[in-house]
Amino acid sequence: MRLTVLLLATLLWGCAPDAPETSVPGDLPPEATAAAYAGSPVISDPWVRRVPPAARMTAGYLSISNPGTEPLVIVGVESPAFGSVELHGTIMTDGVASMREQEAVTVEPGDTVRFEPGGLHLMLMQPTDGVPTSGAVPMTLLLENGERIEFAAPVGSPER
Amino acid sequence: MSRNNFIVAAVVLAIVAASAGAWLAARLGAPEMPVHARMLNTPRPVPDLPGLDHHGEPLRIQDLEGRWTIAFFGFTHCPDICPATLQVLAGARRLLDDLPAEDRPEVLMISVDPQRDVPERLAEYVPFFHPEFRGLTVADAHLPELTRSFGAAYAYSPAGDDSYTVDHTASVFVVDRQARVAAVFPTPHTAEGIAEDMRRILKLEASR
Repeated sequence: MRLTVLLLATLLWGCAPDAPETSVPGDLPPEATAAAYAGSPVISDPWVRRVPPAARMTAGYLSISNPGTEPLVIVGVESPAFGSVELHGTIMTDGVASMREQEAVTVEPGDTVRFEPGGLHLMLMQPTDGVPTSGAVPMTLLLENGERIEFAAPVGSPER
Repeated sequence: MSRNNFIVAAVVLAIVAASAGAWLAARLGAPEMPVHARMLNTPRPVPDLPGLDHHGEPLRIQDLEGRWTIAFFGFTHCPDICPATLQVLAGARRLLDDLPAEDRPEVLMISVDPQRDVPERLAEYVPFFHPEFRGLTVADAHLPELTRSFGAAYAYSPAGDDSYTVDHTASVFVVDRQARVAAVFPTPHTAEGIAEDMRRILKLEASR
């Protein structure tokens, strides 16, 4: 998806920087261009940490870009695989890691916010059928404006 | 040859010999200081406190004397930092697989959540990351003294529906063969960084 946005940006830059928004090159997938023009957020690199099957919780990560003109405010996350999901941030103070719930996470226009180990993460609790140890976890981001963005986050352990 | 020429020749020869010696020493793997870890000038002994490993067997840090140990503080209800650290340490440990058994470090997760991390829970959690990793839990009453000896801190904070979370030092500690804290890896950690420095620490030890 990030590639699509990049491609779109490159094409627009190359063709006509001042062109009106309707003169989109015709060879792009219509849904991608429509989404980008609506300023819809772009999710990339989602994943869920693979933890021991007996673990009571795990964490989810992703990058979210806001190509729109208004700030994008994430107020929650849902997943059928977990009874409770919270937005969390790990803060490091003098080498001490503390984890705190975030009411909301704002992505400013043109910005990308990364949920990554040791920083922002989706805290996935109360697994409905044990923590998923393979496959991909369906998730939905809830935005302040009522929009819902669905995505699937594969289970993995990248540090390995 | 005049006396002056002789002195110049001697000085040049001495400089060449010293440079060659330094170069050779570096080539032959003269010990270097760790790059990522901070070595303690005076290693700090760990107090002799009773605990249980993840099998429920008695375990004191002193029982690990004779081995190098990589220790860190964590808990199993920790979704982000602790599994990430265990993953990194599993990578580091695998990078050290070629070392002779007596030099391969033990890896120990010391729980800062004795209430929830009973040995059975540690057993479900710690060895998942590496079959040789060990969990250690000590009584609530001993935890302050143990963490203090490492220069580590922890605190309980209320958290959502899971009732509480534990803030804790995320550094990784190196305990020497005499059960003393000898080095600290501050965050962030990488498997390569930890493995490379463990080799440097072993070489330093061998050169003494």
